[in-house]
Amino acid sequence: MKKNKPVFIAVFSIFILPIVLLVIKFFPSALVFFSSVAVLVAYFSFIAFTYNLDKTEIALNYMTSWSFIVLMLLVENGFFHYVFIFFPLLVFFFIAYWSRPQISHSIHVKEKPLRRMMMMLYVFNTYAFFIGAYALHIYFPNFSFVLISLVSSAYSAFAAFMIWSLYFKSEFKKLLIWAIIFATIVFEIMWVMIYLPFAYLALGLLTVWIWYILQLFVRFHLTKEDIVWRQQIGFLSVNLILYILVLFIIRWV
Amino acid sequence: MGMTKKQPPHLPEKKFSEQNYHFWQNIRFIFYVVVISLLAGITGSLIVSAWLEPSFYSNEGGFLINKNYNSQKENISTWSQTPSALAAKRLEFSTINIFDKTLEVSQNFYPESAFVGRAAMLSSNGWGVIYYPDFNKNKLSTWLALDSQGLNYEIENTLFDSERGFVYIKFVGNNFRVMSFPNWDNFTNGTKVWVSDYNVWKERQLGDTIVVVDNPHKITEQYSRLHLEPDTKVGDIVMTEEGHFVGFVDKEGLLQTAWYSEYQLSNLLEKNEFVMSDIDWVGYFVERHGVSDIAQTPGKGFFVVNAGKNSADLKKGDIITEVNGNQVDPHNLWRVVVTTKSDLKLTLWRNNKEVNIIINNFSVNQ
Repeated sequence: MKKNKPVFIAVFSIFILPIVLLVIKFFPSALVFFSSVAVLVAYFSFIAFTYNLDKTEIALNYMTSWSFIVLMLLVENGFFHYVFIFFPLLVFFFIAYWSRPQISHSIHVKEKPLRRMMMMLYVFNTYAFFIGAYALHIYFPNFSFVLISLVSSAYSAFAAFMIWSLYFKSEFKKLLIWAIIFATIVFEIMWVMIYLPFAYLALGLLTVWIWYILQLFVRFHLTKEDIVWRQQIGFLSVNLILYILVLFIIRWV
Repeated sequence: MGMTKKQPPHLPEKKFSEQNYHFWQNIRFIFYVVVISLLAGITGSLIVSAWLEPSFYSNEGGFLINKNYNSQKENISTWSQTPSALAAKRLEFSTINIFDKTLEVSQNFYPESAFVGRAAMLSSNGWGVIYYPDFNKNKLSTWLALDSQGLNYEIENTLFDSERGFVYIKFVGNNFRVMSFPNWDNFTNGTKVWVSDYNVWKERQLGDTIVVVDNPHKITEQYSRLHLEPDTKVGDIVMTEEGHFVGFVDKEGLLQTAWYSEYQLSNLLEKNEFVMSDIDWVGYFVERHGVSDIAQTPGKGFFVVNAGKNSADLKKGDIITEVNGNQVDPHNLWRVVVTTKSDLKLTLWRNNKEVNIIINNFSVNQ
């Protein structure tokens, strides 16, 4: 039986990512980068195996860390680097401390505000992962895009699965089928997106937008009420118009 | 009497199937998913097939791109000679074409001579680089910047690197697809590259290494460049087979690599200017000929004529033989000096003795 996470571990979990990001920012070398990431992974793996953590917390620790590292590496504006160093303090406070009592509950369906926050984090993480995937393709064209899109689709399907599991009691089989369908759709969408002449930040946004709407509709479909199309048609139309508009103006955003 | 076996006798006759009810409830959603999957699937399959077998969509058929309907076979072969489809797309997406708008002959119509050059995009927030050694700020008012979709971009800022003839241009806009850079150590004589002007690709090989500095010269000046095979034009973009941006063809027909653009990119993004090394030694490379009586006499090195203002320990007449433990290589020494951010550990040959000194390497903004 694993013991509960002590407070000092929770506190350290809040600070470890900002420390790693600071090191990456001020000592830009491959050796420092890979060593720092290895330390981060080792730490989160250690607490995952040692203490009694919810699967959501374990997933969010890894996913959110990777998101901030990707953004730190790829966003060119120096001001945002400092935002990416300080913002994780808040995010990991939420993951490691604020959500802790609820997470440790035996219930599977989370409270509404907590669920919303977690969903936003999963969306953010998926967006950041797509950005990293497209950037990898742009900067390293020799690297197989088949592999990149396969990994990204698996990641986004996993994120969608985690979001659905916040809302529904464990229906693993049912959610898994949808996750597989999802992975296929995202894999194909990425192959279309890469032919748009935009940078990785824009491609990530355009992909995650479709991913978000799809996962939302699957979630609605999985509820007892199913999708109420009359209510959703307006939402879908507005999104479609905005999506097309963004395609035209994204160069000047 | 129309009842199933399990129908309880006290309930009215069952008129619908619960299974069918759920099926019809779900059918719209299933239809929605199927349509999206089909659309994405067809598009994805077309892209994958075009990627795996580009010849299937060959432009020789004339269906997909404007074909040059000249009967001469040579012209057609020039059109069809391209690097990988991926590299060709990268050039299209990651460059902005500059035209001289004073040469407009009718609305949006320009002669071929109006093409000034192609700017390779370096950052998603709008920094690009073009080879244009005769640049001055007055030229900017005559430039028209258009991307592959024909969108027009305003120019916000420029920075001119007169040594290399590179003009760094900040376009107004965001989310530009950028060029990637190759591993610079892989470029040597015989390496295959692709050269492109506005619309023609040419496969070329890197030729001899040409020394481009006069003696004596400043240590940080570019020492040598690689020759490109003939029939290239000034300002043509040079790329690898995979689509990495290598540089431009300069006015001597040599390859002006973009490694310096990559090196200065972070300064360009953060400070809108270059950060230069303050190392200012002047001298030239020398080689020893004949046998020396003194043991450990070096074979070659950089002979210092003037140690400059910032290296007090270095003296006129010193021969630098090693930098940071590596033997000096004339073709790389200037790059080592420019890119080393830490202090430089020099091994010198001074008065027939080996001496080790440390030079503080500061950087100054240009």
